[in-house]
Amino acid sequence: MERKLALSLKDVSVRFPRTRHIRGSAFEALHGINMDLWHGEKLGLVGRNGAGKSTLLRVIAGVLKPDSGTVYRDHGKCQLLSLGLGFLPHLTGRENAILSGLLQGFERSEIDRALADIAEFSELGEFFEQPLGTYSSGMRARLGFSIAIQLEPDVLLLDELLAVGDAEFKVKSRDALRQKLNSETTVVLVSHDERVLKELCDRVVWIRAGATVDQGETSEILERYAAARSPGASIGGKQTGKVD
Amino acid sequence: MKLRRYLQIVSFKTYADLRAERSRTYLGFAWWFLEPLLLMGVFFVVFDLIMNRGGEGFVPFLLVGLVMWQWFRASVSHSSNSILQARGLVRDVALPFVIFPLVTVCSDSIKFGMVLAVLLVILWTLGYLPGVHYMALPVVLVTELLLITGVSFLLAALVPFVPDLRFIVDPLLQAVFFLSGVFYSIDKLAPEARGLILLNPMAGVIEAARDVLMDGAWPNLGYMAIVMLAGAAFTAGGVAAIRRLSHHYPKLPN
Repeated sequence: MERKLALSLKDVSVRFPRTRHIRGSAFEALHGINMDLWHGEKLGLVGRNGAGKSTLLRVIAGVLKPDSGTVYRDHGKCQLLSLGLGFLPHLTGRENAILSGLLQGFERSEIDRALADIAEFSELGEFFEQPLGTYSSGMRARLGFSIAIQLEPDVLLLDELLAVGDAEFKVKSRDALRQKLNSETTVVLVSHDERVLKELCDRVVWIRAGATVDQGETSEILERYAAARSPGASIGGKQTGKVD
Repeated sequence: MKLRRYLQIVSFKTYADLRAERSRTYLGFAWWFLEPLLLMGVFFVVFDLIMNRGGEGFVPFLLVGLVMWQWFRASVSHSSNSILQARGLVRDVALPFVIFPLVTVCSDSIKFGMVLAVLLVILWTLGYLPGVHYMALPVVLVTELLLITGVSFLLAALVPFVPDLRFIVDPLLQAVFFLSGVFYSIDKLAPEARGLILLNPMAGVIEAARDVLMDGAWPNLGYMAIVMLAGAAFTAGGVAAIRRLSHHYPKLPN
């Protein structure tokens, strides 16, 4: 089967201003990022906190334009899964689902088709027709997650595997995400959990200080990444118990 | 189609804006009508009862001026803040950011539309009947709308970089208000003063509205054409500025 490029980044750099001045001093959050993403692929992103993973996701999503370098993008929606995007307290659950969906790149007709599933998945019952301002934080999270999981972008961008709600809903949301990761959808997943990456990703891109260090088959890259971080290694700094 | 989705966002967010306003207060929609009426009351007391400067037909005169002015003031004041205020969304979604001031202008214009309808009914009951000159009303409205979008878009483009502008917008609007002939007739000014004050396009638009709605006269169409062109140019400039700056907005520090 011939593979098709969904996205390709060449020498991508992104600079952030330190102040509100357009021409003030800036720091380079990404410099020299090279990566490809193929249709149907599950790609993992690893790197330490502050390495630029979230910035990279925002570039892939098209929110940030690179200051230099090129982004090739096959047609299709790249959407960062973000819970509760654009939620407004005085709108009902249904209306917030519509607004959030529109903002996330879906058309009204696509959203309308998914509304019944969103209502059902969220288990909000009659609260789906009530203003969001009356929801508990758990209910908000459930609505946000249901919207994100029921709408189908061409490329799904995940900043960590999100599981929300009470114990029961956590299991359900985790299952739904896994199901999505096992489907045809193209996925970019940022995670600090090696087991998750090993289980779900075909390929991994390793990022350090805003640049791609290495990329390739999952276990290979994870091994090198772990080696670089192990005590005594020259890079990676001091490690405490938690893997980051 | 991206454009269709953008239009859907504008219309749905406009609806959400109006809903928000209704649910935030007890009287909700009623405030759209009460606000100009209260302002009218204040000016009536000060200028007619206290200073004795009102004269015949002062109430409808004030009402037309205030309704036209409020449309401009509310839209500009609200939308100058709109991109800065939406920074949460700006950081997370790829959208043409002109959507944010556009939504504000839309919701304030819908409010204005309702208030205008009531104003027309009041004018008709007072004996200012519609005539052939009403044909010029769309010209007046479109001219003011273009002025609104022009000023709004330009301010919305700049405020995220210079948030201090927010503190200047309201006093500036206040100054323009005093120079717009809302509570006095610029017709009665000395010719030189009148010429100067017509450099403020809102003064001309408000006078034109009174020509059409109260005096049964044609507005100065040459003047209106110039203001309309200027408004269109400002609007285009505002849209261009927002587009030009659009890759900076998501990066601004919070």
